[in-house]
Amino acid sequence: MNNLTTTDRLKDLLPQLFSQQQREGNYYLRLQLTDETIVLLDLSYVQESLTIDSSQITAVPNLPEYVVGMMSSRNQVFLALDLAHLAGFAPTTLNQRQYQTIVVQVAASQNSDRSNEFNLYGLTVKRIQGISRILPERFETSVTAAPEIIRPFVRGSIADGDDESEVQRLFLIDLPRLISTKI
Amino acid sequence: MQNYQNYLSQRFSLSCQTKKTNSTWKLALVLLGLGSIFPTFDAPAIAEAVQPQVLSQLAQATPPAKASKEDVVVKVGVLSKEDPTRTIAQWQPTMDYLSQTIPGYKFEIVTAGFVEMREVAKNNGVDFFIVNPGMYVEFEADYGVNRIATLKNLRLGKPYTEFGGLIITKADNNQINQLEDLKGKTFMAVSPTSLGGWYMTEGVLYESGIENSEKFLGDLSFGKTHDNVIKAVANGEVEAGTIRTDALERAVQRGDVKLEEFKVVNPIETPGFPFLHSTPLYPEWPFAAAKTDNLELKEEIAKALLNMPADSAAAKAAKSDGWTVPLNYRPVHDLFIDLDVAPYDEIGQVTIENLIKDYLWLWIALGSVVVALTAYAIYSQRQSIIQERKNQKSLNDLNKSLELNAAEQQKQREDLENAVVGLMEALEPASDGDLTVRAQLSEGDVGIIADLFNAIIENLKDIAIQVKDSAGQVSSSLSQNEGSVREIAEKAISEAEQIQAALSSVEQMSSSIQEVAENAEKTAVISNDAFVSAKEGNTVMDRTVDSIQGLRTTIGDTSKKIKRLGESAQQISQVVALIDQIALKTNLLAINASVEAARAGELGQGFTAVAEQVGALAEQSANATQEIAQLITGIQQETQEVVAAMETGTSQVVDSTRLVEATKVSLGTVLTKSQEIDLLMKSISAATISQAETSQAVTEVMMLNSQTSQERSLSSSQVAQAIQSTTKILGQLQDSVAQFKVSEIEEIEEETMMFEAST
Repeated sequence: MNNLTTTDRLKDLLPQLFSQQQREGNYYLRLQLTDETIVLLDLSYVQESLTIDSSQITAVPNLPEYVVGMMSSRNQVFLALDLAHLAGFAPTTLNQRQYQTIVVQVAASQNSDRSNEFNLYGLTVKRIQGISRILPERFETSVTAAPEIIRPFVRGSIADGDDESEVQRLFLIDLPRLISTKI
Repeated sequence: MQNYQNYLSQRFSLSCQTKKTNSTWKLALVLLGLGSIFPTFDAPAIAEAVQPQVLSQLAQATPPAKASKEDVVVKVGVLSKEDPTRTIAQWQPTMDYLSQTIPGYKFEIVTAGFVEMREVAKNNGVDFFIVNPGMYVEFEADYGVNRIATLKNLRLGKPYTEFGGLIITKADNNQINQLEDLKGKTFMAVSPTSLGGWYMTEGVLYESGIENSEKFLGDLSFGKTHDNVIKAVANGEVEAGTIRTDALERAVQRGDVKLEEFKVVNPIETPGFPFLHSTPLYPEWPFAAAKTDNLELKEEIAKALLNMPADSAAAKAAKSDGWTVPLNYRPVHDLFIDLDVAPYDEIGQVTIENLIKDYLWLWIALGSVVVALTAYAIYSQRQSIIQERKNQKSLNDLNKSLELNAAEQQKQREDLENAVVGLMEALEPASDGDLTVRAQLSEGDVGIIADLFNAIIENLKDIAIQVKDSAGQVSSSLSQNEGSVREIAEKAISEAEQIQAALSSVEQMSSSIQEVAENAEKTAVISNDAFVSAKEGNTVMDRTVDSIQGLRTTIGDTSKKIKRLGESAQQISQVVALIDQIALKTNLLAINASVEAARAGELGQGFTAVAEQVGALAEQSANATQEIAQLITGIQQETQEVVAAMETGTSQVVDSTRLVEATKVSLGTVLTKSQEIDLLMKSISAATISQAETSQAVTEVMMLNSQTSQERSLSSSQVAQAIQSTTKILGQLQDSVAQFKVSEIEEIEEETMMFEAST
């Protein structure tokens, strides 16, 4: 093992990195919304993911409860929202020392006149799980398995993992619709 | 007469030199003879006149004993039967021993054969002798030699004080088997004067009826030594021979001859005497002293010889076990008397010639005695006739005067008889108890007697009256006393019974006390056992406390280690949290990278894939850390539980320690209590023992009491008996007093009535 170079060791440990195999499907970000509910978010909305200290979020008075405060990233200032609270669950990221936050870019309005305008939002979640590549055809359109609160904003669902016994279903969230409905 | 005096003086000197006893009676006879011839001579005066002469001759005859005190030479004559050098070798150590033991004397040996020894003895050549018993007996008779010790001859390792003679012949000689067979045979003895070597055999022949053995034997020769006789018999020079006992055994021991070559004639068995012998046994060789007045030296020698140790060189050389007290040499004397040998050669051969020659002086003495006696008899006869005549005359005178006196006396006696008869008649009733009678007074001696009798009877009367009175009084008081004594006796008996009852109850008490004592002793033993067990329990408890303390410290250590383990788990969980943080950040970076790569379009495709992989890895890391965190949490929880359990254990240990301590304390209390019980039990035991002793003493006292009361009852009954017998005697007394008549007849009858009532 000692004869091996660092590259060899990397190759040995992570063979996937060096396989030039073409994989298909769109990228989705997995987010843990509550203890039971995991949702998927199209990566195209995502600008950035980061952890941010609570001291860097400035609380703003007279704003809805789901607003955590004002935050800044990459020279932009925008609102940080508690996604679960926004969706209608109990607040999950209240008074934390650090927040796991994703910065999303959503079209300002459904209206065509303002189609070139985008709003930035910081969405604090309980936990950012990772990225999954999923073919769009695999989504099932039935949303009956989803909690009733978020059912209006779910576009489809998919069974997570290969194991059939552990039925953890992931729900694809229509973010622009959620934001436009709630805000 | 001259001849007789010469003979007498010669005889005196001889007898003084040889034997005093013999001379005394001979001298007495002579003196008697002289006394008879000359009755006017005072016999004791003659004896006195003769005595000094004898004494002076005695003194002359005694050899000068010792001139000076320094090394007086004492010569000891030793009879040498065989080789003189061997004799010297045998006896010189004895001389040395005596010289050494008795200071101031030097003992020298003088050896001599049978013949020479006689010469030596005759000439007073030696002071002491070691000779055979025959020679000793001869010297004793002839020269006044006196034995002071007898040899204990050592043969076959044992001492023997007797020896005998042995008659031997060749073993293959069939002609000689008994003493009678020796008739006409050639015979060899040691010496004509040898005791063991001839005289004893001669004695045996004499006993079997052969008086003249020299004629009986065909040819008698003398070999001078025992060895010569043995050799002569062995060589066939003679057909038979005689030697002393153990001479043959010695020759065999020396290897000169063999025992099988010989045969013993007339063998005799004596219990305890192992050697072959044909004759009776006679005492061994004596150590004899020549006639001497040096008693001191004799005593010293006797002492030295008797004290001679059996293992001394002297005793060994003499082949003896020392010396013993002088034995009785009477058998030797008897033998010599039988055989008519010196000194008894005079006794047997009595001839008229010898009789006249030897006892001439005796005949003369006897003749003079007869003459003197006859003269005296005639003289005394004449004297007695004269005296008798005188006596006859005076007797006649006396007879006449006596006849006259007799007539006078007859008359006087008749008068006296008459007076006495009168007196007796008057006083006759008094002998039957009548005290009222009185004798008639008359003149003369009888009157005085009658007066005296009257006075006596008067007195008797008074006495009888007094006796009667007193007897009556005594009788009444005795009857009273008897009753009370009887009561006393009965009371004593009942008292004895009560004491007996008390005694039995005391004995029961004593036995129960004994039981209590035994029980107390047993209890003491048990409590002692308990004490010992409590002691053991205490030590066991100590050990338990120690081990519990050890357990406590062990538990404390363990709980410390567990706590440290918990701390380590805490640190691990911190590290894990850090890893989780890093994994999260990596994940976010991967997402960002993917976002950036997606913006780059087609160009970012590869990079997106890489970012995807990194994100997956980060996710896995996060999951792993989550699991670790969970595990750590579990560990921490368990650790806490263990710590809690440990604390519980520690507190339990503390509790049990406390319990053990309490147990120990209570055990200690048990210990002291059992010790106290032990002590108490011991004191109880001691107390009961003393109680038992006391009760024993009480029992003894009671027993004594009982004995005393029994004795008392016995003695009181004895007293009662005595009183009864006294009463009886009193009755007898009254009876006898009643025989006296004292004129007042009524009183006598009254008293008799009273007496009968009382008995």
